[in-house]
Amino acid sequence: MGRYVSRRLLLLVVQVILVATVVFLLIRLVPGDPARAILGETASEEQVARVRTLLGIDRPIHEQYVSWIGRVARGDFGTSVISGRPVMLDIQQRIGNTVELIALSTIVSLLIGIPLGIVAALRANRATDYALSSFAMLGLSLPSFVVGTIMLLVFGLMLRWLPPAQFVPWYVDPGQHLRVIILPVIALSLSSVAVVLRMTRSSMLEVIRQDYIRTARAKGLSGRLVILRHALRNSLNPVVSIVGLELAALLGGTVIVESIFNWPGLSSLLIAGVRSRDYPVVQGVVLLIAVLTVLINLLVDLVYGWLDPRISYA
Amino acid sequence: MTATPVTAPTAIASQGWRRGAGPAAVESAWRRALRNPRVSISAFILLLIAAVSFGAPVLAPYSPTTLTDMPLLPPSSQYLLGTDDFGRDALSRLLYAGQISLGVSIASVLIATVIGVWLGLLAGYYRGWGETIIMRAMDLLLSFPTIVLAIAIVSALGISLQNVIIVIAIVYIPRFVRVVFGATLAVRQSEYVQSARVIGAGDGRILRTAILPNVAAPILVQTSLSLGFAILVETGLSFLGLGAQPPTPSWGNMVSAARNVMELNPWLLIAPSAAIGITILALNTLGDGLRDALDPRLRS
Repeated sequence: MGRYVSRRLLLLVVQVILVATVVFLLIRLVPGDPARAILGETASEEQVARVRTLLGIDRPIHEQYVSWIGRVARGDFGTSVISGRPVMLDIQQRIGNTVELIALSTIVSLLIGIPLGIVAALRANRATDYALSSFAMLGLSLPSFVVGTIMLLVFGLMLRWLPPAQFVPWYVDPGQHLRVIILPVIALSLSSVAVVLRMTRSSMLEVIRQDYIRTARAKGLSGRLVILRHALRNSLNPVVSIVGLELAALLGGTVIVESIFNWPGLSSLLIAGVRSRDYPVVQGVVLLIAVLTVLINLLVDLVYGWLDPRISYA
Repeated sequence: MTATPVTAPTAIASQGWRRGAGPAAVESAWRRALRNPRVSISAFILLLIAAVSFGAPVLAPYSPTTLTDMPLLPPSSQYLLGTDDFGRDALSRLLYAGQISLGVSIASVLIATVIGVWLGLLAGYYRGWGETIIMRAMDLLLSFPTIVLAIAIVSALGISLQNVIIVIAIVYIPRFVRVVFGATLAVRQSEYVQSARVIGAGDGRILRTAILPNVAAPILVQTSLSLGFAILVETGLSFLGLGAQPPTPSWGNMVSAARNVMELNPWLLIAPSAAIGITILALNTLGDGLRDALDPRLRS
């Protein structure tokens, strides 16, 4: 396994460089002069020249590329054209809020999705299963911004159970912080709950048809014990791989959920960057999210192999 | 002699699309899928939504962009969904918005299908360095979360409906390439492809007449599922203000606009939300039904 891990780590470096290359090329997609696009038609030539220097696009492209990769490797994502602050500083201040949303949503989707999936499998093709499967289909079909906005209307404005979208840091008021995080977590995790539920159900259905489950039952073990000790363990492998994909999806989902609930995470930084054409900010946030996605996928592959010894590392 | 032996994969088709399912199998699968009430109901709902959306110029009682009355009127016989914060008829906006949301999604999925299918066919049929380049490039695109990649490209190209179409197409090309690549690999060594080669058919002809019909089934399933995702991305981008620009209505920007006034007229939020939810639900149900009908291994 050691050799497999080191090979995957090497591959990781290549992947990160490729991802950084794509993000570098992004600014080249901008039609015309990016500096002119940022400043608008009224800006003077000197202003445009200054922004061109700031973006580094006044140099030949190969020089720009080498310097970009070098800076990224040192964790330097450049300086915001609008605020003049280092992009990395803004990211550091906000990433915790985004990670908190994702971590809580992952926990929620596992804690709710797996038990519901087991129940659906054990009651397969009966009313409970149909109800749960319909719920899952609904969860997959309703976009987070629709769910989030409707919850804001119902629980925030009409029932007034929960405070409307107003972020409170945990160190200011932990209780209030927990209350404001409930709705974003529900909106973000709904589709993941659905995916985990469906995956657990189908994987569980496959496992409980196996011979060794029949054997376990035949030797007189109670139904619950067979499910928990024998069936669950083996049916969770596909769930682990789907959780990896879901983590990446959640990372994308935060972009929308954060903007509904005014959550000061990476997304508000990204959206503000897009609106003001602040390319270093957009590049920095996109690169960070892509690198995190690649890391998550690697981690899931490793956990997957560790859980299921049948997977070879050849 | 005509090329009839080339298009005789129906015997293999009955074994399911992993091994290649021809047009006849797709046709019978359609019929099988439509016998499932959930699928036929979804198909009916989708046709209905498409009809009222694209029929908006005839059906909509008012213009979607002109101010017709007082703002935020409640639903009445004159304005079935009331008026929005600018005094525009919400129902007319909903219908025209469907045109934008469906039109953008259909156009982008069509582009993704055409490009993705050909890249997948080429990679799977010729293998070699072409395969390496195409498949690694697709892996690279897949390492960005969908909406983040979409936002990144929109930020570079600029905000416009045409760019949204391009962006969604780019984001979904890798899914088609992967599906078609796998299916092509499965059939490229089959006997009917070999026999087509023996009777002297060129590569282009083999790809078009022997391989493409046999990978049609997974393409169909992928198209149906991708349309649902495309609507998700289109409405999401519009919601964030990166898609259709006001006053042009889109289901996504209608939800976004309703946020400030939803207490006064909740229908402004509920109507576009329901339109988005029902459309995606119907597309997902249709895709699931088609997959079950086309993949015998999953059939119960």
